[in-house]
Amino acid sequence: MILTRLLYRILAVFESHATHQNISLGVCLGLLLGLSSPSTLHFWIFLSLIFLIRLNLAAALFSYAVFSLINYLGNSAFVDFGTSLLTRQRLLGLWGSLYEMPIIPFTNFYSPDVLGKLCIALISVGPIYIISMKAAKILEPILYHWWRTTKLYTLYRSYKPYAR
Amino acid sequence: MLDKKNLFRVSGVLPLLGTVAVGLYCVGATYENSFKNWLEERSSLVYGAKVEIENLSVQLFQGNAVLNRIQITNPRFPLKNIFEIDKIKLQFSFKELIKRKLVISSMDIQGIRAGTQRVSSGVLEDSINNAESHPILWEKTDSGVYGDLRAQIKQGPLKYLSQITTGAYTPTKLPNLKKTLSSLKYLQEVNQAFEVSAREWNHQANLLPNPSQLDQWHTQITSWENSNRNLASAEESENRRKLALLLRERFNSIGQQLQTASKSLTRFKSQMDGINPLLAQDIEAVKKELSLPSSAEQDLSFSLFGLQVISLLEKMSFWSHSYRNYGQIVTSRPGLQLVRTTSNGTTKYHFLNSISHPSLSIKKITLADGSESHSDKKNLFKGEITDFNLFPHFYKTACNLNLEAKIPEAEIDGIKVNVRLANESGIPKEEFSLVIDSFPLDEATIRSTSDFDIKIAHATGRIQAKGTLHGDGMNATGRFETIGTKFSIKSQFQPFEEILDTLTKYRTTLLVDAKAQGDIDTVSLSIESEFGKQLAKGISETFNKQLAQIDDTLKTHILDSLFPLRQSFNEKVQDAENISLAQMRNTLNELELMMSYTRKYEPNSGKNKDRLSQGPNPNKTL
Repeated sequence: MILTRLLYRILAVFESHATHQNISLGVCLGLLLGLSSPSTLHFWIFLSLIFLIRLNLAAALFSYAVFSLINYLGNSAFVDFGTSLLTRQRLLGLWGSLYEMPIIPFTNFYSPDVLGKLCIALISVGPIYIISMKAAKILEPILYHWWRTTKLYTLYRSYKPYAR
Repeated sequence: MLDKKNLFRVSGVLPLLGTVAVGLYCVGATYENSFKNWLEERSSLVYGAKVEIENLSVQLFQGNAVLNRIQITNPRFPLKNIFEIDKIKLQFSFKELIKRKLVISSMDIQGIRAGTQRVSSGVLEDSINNAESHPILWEKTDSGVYGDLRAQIKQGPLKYLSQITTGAYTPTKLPNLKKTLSSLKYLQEVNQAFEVSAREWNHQANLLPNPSQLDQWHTQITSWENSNRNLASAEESENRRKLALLLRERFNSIGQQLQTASKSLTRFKSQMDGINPLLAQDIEAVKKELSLPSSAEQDLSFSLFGLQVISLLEKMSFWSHSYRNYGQIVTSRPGLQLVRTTSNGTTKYHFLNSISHPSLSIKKITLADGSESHSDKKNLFKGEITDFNLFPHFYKTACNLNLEAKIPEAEIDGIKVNVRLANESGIPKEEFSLVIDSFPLDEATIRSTSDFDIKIAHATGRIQAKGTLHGDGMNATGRFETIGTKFSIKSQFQPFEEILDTLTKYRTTLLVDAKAQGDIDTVSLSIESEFGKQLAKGISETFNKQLAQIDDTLKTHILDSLFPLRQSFNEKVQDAENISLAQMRNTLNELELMMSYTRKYEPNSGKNKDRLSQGPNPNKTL
């Protein structure tokens, strides 16, 4: 019974905040997390946004999985991009100031892969938000319909009265 | 597009704060232990054997840390510690720490003990199964840059000696070396030149008047002799004159040919003697190729302690290179430098600023033994390291290390180490001096090869070394001496063991001087020791006879291999003498005989007589 209630709770969390904006925000957060390493400060800051922003957790998890894969596959490209940013003469002053700032160095920004991924993630947040909004509008009815036909959903609905 | 009203979740602030609070509490409660474990793990991995810390306490905001009872395993004897330190107190700057920089203003190392017993083995668990992937720090610093010098020190300098002296020597390599023998090449060249000349002589022999021609001339001359010369017609007289002139012409030309051929033959014969110095050369070359010892030269192959000295030089070069090149300068501008570092495959860029601290710097490390009393039997450690920091090329501060130690427990009466890492007008300079006085040596290997083992069974040793690395130049000298020395020697080769026995029987001291000079990458090394010289002399004297025998054996082998060519040459010379030259000589004799009758028919016979006497005299020449 406890397990069933727990499952219900989890499914309820996943089903909550299912507006298009929530889904898109979830995707964006998944992107930021997927392209960050847990050894960096900004990963934990992004993670804390789960508490502060209304977003769809299922979308965030799905997006996190996808962007983790991209992170793994495109590592060398991120490193190259990060290297080109770090070694750019015009930006030397900026990086030099950040290097001497308190707390900032804990983001590990002076590591080319971290900076490359972070910059790509931040640049692509906007476009990804817009794209995922549009995609959500198209896919949401289809996926919602499919979700309602699954056995898991039937189970979830049937156990709902006990899950208070 | 973004609905800001429904964007934030105020209800999530409390859970977040709660989670952060719980997280911080957990980190706060366990970070000392986690940091201790991390420190143990990292330092053990770098060092190659267990490094253990009993406990660690850190006061982040005050900038204090204390590490208690640090045990550093002796990698050779894992149940013993090489050192055990009672306490390390360090003070760091919290202000710099939040910039992710470790700036240590002072570090006190107290209560150092050497050779203490461990409760459990200090071998790293992973290294038991895979020792190669877990080398100890000492092995990691074997840079191997002086491979050329190492190659000179042969693992088995007496490679073939045992076989030779026991009579089991067979120069199996000789057939392969045949192609490189200079005597063989020389012989082939002489042979080829001779063949060209022999062909010429044969050709000339074929052009000689044939026997029927000679018979015809002979009959004609005899008939003229039997008839009255005054009754001969004018035509007949003209014929006689012509024949006389023809015979003279042929005689002169054949005489010239014979003279030239005879001279060439004599030269070819004398050229065969020229093979003797080449044979001696070939013997030396073959001996060198077969790694046979040469009595005259004394090189690094017999040098005692050669490998140890090279290993030390390699470590010096490694540390110097590592310190000088910690990070590659990517770009720089006044007051700021971008440096790239790579560690464990991860690249990082550091933005070095002249007015700020490097990411790791230690102002002062002080070593103190921590004990109140200073009796002679107590271990004594004192010293300090000042101004150590990463990126010395940028900060240009000179780092000094001065260390003095006395460890009566390990019978070491005194260690004195001074190191200075500096940067003089932009050129890195490292100076060091080391004195280890009176330390015990038990079963210490001097030289171990497949031919022999020389060990010091027991002795008291002393090491003095000092050197400078300035820019690309290295200048280092060192001396190792022992007193009360008892040697232990072993060789698979009885006569060699006898030499070593004789040399070490009444010897109680050993003195080795080493000097390394030159470019840091291609340093030249000389190692001198009286014992080493006597060893080489003993070897050369004892094996002189054997070497002479080897020379004879090799000479016989080389001569055997040259035999077919020499034989063929001699036969050709013989053939030339017996056939071509003999033919010329016979023809010449016959012509001379005929000319004695025809001389009177020649015009101005009185003058011709003189000319003939001035012409070639082949018989005389031959």
